[in-house]
Amino acid sequence: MASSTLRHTIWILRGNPLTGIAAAGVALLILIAILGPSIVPYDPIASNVSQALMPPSAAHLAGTDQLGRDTFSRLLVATRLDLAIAVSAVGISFVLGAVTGAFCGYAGGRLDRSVGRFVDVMMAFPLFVLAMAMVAALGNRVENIVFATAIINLPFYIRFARAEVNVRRDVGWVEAARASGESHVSVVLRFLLPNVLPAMAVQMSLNLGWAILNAAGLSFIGLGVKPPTPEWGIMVAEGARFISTGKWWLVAFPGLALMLAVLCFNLLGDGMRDILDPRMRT
Amino acid sequence: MTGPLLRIEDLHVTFSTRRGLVEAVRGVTLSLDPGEMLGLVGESGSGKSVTGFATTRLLDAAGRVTGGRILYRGQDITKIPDSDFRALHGAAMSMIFQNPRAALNPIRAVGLQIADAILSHKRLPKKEAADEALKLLRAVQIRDPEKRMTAYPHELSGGMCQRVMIAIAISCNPMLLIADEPTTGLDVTTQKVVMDLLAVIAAERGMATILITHDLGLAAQYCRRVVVMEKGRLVEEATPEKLFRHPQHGYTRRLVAASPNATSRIEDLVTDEERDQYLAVLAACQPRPAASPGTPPLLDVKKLAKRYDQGPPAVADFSMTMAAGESVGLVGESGSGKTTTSRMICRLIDPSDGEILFDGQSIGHLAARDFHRSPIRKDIQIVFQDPNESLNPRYTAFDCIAHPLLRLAGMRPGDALTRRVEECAQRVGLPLELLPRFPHQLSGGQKARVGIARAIACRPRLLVLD
Repeated sequence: MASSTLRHTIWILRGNPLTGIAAAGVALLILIAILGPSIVPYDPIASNVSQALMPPSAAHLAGTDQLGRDTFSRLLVATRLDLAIAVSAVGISFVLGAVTGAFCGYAGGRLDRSVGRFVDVMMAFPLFVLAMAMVAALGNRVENIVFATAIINLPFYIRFARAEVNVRRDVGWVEAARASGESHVSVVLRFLLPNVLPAMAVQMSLNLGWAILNAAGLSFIGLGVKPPTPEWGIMVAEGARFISTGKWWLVAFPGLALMLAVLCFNLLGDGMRDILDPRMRT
Repeated sequence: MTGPLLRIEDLHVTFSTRRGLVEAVRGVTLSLDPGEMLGLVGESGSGKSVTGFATTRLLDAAGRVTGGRILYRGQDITKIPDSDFRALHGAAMSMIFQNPRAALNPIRAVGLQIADAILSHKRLPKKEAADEALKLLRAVQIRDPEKRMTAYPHELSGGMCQRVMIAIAISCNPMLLIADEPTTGLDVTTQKVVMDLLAVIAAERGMATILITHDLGLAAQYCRRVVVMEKGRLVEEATPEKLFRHPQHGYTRRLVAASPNATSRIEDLVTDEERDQYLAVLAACQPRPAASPGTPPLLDVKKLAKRYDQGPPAVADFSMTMAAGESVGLVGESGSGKTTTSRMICRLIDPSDGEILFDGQSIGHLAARDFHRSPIRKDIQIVFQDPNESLNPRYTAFDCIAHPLLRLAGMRPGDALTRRVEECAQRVGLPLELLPRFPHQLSGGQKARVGIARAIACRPRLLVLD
């Protein structure tokens, strides 16, 4: 099985090399997130006013900011925080959403209807505004960004898991599992959820990019992560003040980092859809 | 017109897959006269459908004609460009498929779909196209054609959908119809009606037909000439009488032997080796002692009923009794409540009313939700209708059969479990080397065997075959 999956993956990658590039990009991001603080050339927080607002050069690859901090070092160090926020937020909404949605889809009836209406109400809010309100109300902390991002993602996971489980709840193998002595709960957790997982993994990858943007957006408007912590959203926000004087590198590089991270996750999600789609397995 | 309508010469079709190139058709030569119905028979994977698809140029992107010629009225149609080929579709040749429901657009009324097919080849006012469509629905003998014009595919039965497909296929009076397993998804009675209709329409319109089927009996009934394919090659071509009386090729002989008739026994339908195995199993079985009079019946169902929130009851006032070792057939058309009844007896759903006594013990009152904990769970097992849907895609065949043993018979992973699973697999004729495979790596028949092996694994006292 393992070798056939590998062969299948290679087959897909050959038809769609972009997926391979995206996977390499994501791997690089993870590597930077792990190694970030130990490989940076400069201390990301130490200011050096004599070197303030220098354009990109060999010494400072992405220039320096108004306090003379090296932008490149700050970008690398920020990767860990941004990824951690996105991964934990998506993780929480996936676990809660998948389980809730799966039970709703399997049980149907009143549970399904009430959760469904609740989800409808949530989705009627502008989600980013909802996240802003939550962080503002709960306090300006990293945990609260994670929490708010997780909550606004939740409806999508609930709906997705509900729909995927709902179409499978009457198939023979579910009834067969019951005839073999499984309870309703174990049918959902041990039979239906594992079968829905591949499709949800795709959703998660697409969602990670979105969560990164969301966290950066919250920081950009001053909610959540506070300076001087390096974070892509704050870096864009701080740099925006200098863009009118031609100091483009303060905005461009964090913006580019955000864009590339989101792009990699989205492309990987698309590629995973092809790899995991059983109809592609001939 | 002289000469054959269609002549296929030394056709080769190759698919590029991730395991490399696969030759699906390797040198098929056949010809078809105008108005003739030819049977193209072989098991799945023999290349019969691919031959049909290559002729109508409906091969999917991975498949390519790598050799040979397909001559339609003397013109090699493998060489002409796609734009010219489109004119041939519908007007010269058309095709009907195995699953009619999937081939119809689910969100468009069937009358409009037939009209669409007509309009794609003829410039006509919409009104006339609709009249034409109605005429076609009459031609395919659909009941209440006026009403069906505005029906959507999901409102029609499988047989009616196939009639609509036939109507679309003949809408532009093609000279050649390729029918790929046209009746496989239909039940036996509908099968015959649809095939008779197809034969009548073909005869009336002088339309040549290639009937692609795995069912030698069906081909023999409707075709004057039958071609047998195996592994992409043509192995035999003869009249059905000759095929059945004197099959020349070993493969044909097996196919003939595998075509059941009223007098066939299970021994006739398997290879010699399988037969010996089967007879050995049979010999090992002791005949069941007849139930002594006075013992309660194994299953006693009294006034069982199932009502859903709206609509008429799905099952009402159903009673039956069954003795141990007895076989009872439960017959009815689709929608008559057979499945609902079987699910209630298997205690997968709760009855609204009535009583189920198993071995003298009332089990109807136990909630289906909690029945998995009952000791009777392992005594009542079920084999599901659609083998393709009855196996967990993430379980191997071994896991599927082992699952009830682990849950219900209290067995633990180990030699004893492996032995029992292998024993069950042998009893249903499932080769042991298939046990580590996942459902998508098994054929429909193999999946069905896994489903049966799973149901008998715990030695149930009542087996429901849906």
